[in-house]
Amino acid sequence: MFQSALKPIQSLASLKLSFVAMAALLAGILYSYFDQSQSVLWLAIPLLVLAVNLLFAMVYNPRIRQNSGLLMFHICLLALALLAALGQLTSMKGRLEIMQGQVFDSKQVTVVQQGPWHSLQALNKIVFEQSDFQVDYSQGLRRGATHSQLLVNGESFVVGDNLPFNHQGYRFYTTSNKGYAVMLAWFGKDGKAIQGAIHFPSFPLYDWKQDNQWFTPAGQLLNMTFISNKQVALNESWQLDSSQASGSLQIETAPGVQQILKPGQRLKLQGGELEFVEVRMWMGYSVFYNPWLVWFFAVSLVGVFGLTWHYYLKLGSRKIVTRDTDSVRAEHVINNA
Amino acid sequence: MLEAEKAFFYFSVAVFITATIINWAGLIFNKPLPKTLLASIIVAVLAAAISITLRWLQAGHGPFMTLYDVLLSNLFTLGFIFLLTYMLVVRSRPAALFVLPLLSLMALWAATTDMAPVLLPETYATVLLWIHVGVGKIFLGLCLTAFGLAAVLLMRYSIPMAGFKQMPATTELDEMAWRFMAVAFVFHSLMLISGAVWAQDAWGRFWAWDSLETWAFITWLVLGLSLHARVTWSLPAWAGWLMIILVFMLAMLTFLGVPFSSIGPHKGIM
Repeated sequence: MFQSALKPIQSLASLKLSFVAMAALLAGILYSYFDQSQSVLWLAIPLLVLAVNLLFAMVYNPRIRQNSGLLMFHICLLALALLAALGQLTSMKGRLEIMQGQVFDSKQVTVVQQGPWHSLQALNKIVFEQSDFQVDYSQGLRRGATHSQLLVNGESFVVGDNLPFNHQGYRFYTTSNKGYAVMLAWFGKDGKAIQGAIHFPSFPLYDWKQDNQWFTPAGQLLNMTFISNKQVALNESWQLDSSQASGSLQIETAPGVQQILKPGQRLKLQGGELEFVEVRMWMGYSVFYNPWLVWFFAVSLVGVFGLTWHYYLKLGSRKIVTRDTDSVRAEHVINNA
Repeated sequence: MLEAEKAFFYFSVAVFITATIINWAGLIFNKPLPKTLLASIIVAVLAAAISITLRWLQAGHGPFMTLYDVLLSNLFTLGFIFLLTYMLVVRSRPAALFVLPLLSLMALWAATTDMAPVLLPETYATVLLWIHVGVGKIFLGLCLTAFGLAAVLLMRYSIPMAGFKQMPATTELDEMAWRFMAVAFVFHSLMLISGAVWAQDAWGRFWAWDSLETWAFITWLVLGLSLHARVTWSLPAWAGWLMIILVFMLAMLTFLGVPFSSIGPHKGIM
């Protein structure tokens, strides 16, 4: 009676179910690869079935229980599935553009993905200032090393390429996005003065369209074009150095009415005056947070160790033997040919 | 491109093709494998190694970037892994019937591609690249030998030839092919792990389902499925051989097709 009640539960440990769930996961991956609209469910459902199957297999399948290496491998697979789920709940991905001389503000971060258990409050504890950066280019406009200097409590850190800035569990990676920014000051006729910056598109990727728009506090639309003094060399090596950023600003106040300003120059507009203060550069970062990364790595390695141990015990000491009748039949056919 | 580098490469291609002909002639005319076959594999692998070394010295970095780089490095690494297998696991030698033509085809394919070296992106300047690529090559080398054995077994099963009588028993070759697949599974797992660590450092994410990651995972999953299927059901041996061939084809697609047909971080684009 008890045994028959256990049967349906034991079937959850079936190797055939493992095969079906793995095949379903494969189908889900292929479906998501070619049609990305429903990717999460197509992967999550087979993974959930696999996790349940794994759990029961570890309890009921003597083959797994009695092979320490195989058991270790399967426990690690289950742990990886749990860690992936935890990662989805607690992780965060974002991007950020920060200008030279600017202090990090969590409001600048554009959140791309945020797990329901992730609080962005921790970002408020991060303090750093973007300093100068250099990006090397070689012939054919191929990007080389990026050296981005950050100031943290008076200390200088250089990050870039394979080296992120780690703080409070968040990782800031430099990206290929970086460009010019112009500092502007507005002096209204009402006596109010404000200062801010306009970021232009990524440079040198979009060196041919360094355009942006801005509405003055008086409501006038300005079409701006930044004209860099830095020439993009296609056939030689060069360096983009933020400390040497320079250029002029072309402002279109009305269709066909343009004026070019140099740093320090002012332009009279409706309701006030605009000053082009100086040229700076901005650096683009991707922001990543996943507190389970180290666990992922450790569990993966332990799993591979388990698998290796299993194969070492299984294959290392065993002589190659006949496996199935079909092979014997094949051999028989050959030998009689 | 240096003339000497080119000369050693073409010499390697010629020797791999010669070795293929010697091997197949032995099967067709039912002759035992001559010692010149082993010697020719050694010479072909050595020539490929010299060609890579000269290219490395000229470019200043290893063969990681272009399709030619990858094909040339595969010619050397897969040839070297197979050479070790050929010398250490004597009973796996029948695999050479399909491994050598495949290496020859790979070499001829390389000869048709653009051989000019390109610069290494900054994110590739890490020891993780060496670990990732290294374990990946070992996986592919083991998978290649398993593929060779599976292809020989399928041929033996469907086209009886007198030359097959010199080979070890079908069951023995079958068991050996699956052993290579099992060890390949371990190395593929290591490749995925080291790749994830590298991707985290290089692109700020450890897994993003980009084309190469997706196809590498599909290969891992199908390999896992094959190993599972073999213990779950008493499949006919030929079905197992077909599964090994499928896994190898997926691996080749992942290594040589996807990185050069998709736009993604793995391509090293700025």
